[in-house]
Amino acid sequence: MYQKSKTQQWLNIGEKTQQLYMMILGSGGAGKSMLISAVTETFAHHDSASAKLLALCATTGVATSNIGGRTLHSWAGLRQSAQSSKWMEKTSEQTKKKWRKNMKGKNFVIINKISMANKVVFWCMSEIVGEVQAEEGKGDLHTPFGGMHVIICGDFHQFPPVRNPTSMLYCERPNNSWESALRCSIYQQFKTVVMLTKQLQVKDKVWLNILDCLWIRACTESDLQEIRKLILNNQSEVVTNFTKDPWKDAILIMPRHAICDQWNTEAIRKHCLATEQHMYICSAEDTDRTNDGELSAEVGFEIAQSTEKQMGSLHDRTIVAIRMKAMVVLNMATEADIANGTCGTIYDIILDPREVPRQGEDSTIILKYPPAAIIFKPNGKCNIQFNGLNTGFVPILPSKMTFSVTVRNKMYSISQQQLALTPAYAFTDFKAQAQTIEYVMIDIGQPPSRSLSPS
Amino acid sequence: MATRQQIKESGMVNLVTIQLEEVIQGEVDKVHLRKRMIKSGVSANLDLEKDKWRSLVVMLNMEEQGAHNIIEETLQKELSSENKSIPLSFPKKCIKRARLSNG
Repeated sequence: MYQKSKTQQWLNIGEKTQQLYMMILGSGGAGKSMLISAVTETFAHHDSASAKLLALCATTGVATSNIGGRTLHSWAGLRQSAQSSKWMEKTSEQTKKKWRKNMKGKNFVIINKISMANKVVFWCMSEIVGEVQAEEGKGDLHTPFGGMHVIICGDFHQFPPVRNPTSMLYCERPNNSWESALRCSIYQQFKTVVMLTKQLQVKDKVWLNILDCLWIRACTESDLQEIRKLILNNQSEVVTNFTKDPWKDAILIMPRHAICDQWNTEAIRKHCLATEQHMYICSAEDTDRTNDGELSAEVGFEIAQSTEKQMGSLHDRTIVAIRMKAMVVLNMATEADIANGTCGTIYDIILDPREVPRQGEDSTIILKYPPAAIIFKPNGKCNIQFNGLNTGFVPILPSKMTFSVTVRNKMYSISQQQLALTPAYAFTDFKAQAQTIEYVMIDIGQPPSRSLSPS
Repeated sequence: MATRQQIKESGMVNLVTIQLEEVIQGEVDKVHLRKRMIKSGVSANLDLEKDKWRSLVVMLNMEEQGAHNIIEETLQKELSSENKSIPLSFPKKCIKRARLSNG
């Protein structure tokens, strides 16, 4: 008897703690980020080894920099091709090395802004984490996330995954294959749920009540009347003067890219006239990696026909001006709070040494090369100090992307350099996610393609 | 070639082509250096970190505290199971046999 119990005790030593699948839900301002900070500090407080057990991720760049983590795609080394069949077998050894590097020794992962994660990404992440955990001997391939403790945080009333609302984690459609059933089942494992209901940011009691009612679809007629007061039309009771502060610099949020672009161009023109600054139009610099940098006319024509998405998400043409409001469009350094969606102001433009500026119409200057650097001041905190620059200022250098084009059945590898910046007088609703904006105009019209909610 | 400082002093900030590669490279190096400093700073200033932890945990409301406690409890279990090790005097083949007999 003694022998058996002793053996049992020894065997229990190696047993794993029950896997935690936890979901922390709460509206914006309910304290999710603060809770994540406290949990991070708790891990560091126990000892230096336990701090390394925790990985922090978020689905968007801004949300990532808010919690000091990495984007989900970067941490899990996810690629678009992960959606194809046999993606795991097709994954390169280099990517697998990245998985091991990021996930080695991690026992906990917190994923913020979960509403924007789609089922396929979540499932792929579970498979990848499982693979690494199994390699480390800490878990098995058949358990979601290979036994790693997973904490997801967010608000499913916020934006769904881009372009595909039905891919939201809780949506059970499509349900026509075992793969889709498997993807849905991973979310269903999250049975430890904590709801954060206390609002910490909104102080206005009437508005707070409206937000609470919106969450549970319990708005009354008086709530709707209060909301309708904010709609601008000919019957508006309050007349807003958009030429004076604070509305003079209000941001426009709207679902259509084309209108955002037009609004931004006009806003910069207005800004340049008011401040007597030049407007710089910077073209991207394309070089042919397979032909010593020289770009033939045919290849150049093919690039001109490509869409921005095919070319790696940098803009072919960027407009900048001193003191202009701008937004970063790539995750440059999330640990330094320079992430996709970071807003700020341009304070200086340093031209490329090869540049011979050309005067365009009005006060526009046409540049052949992207500027060598932009001195940018993010609106929020900036935890990096550069020599020669005041606190809070960061240099932004042109970003490099590579893509390929095919001309006469021959593939050319193109390297493109451009500033990963866009004017920030207007931006799309998805870009507004996780932003703190004081005064804002919102287009509440029907989104161009489909509704935001999957139901 | 004018330096950036000279250009700023003379007021010619715009439309001037200047050689800045060295300056920029220096600034890029500093980003990497700073990144290392941020990471090492966590363990270097332990007292400050403890105070930060206390103040953060005290600030949590009951709901947040509940969520925090669930995670901390799991962490403690995880740490205690990792710290325990199988006694060296216990032969490995016995463990294997015991596992088999345990089904």
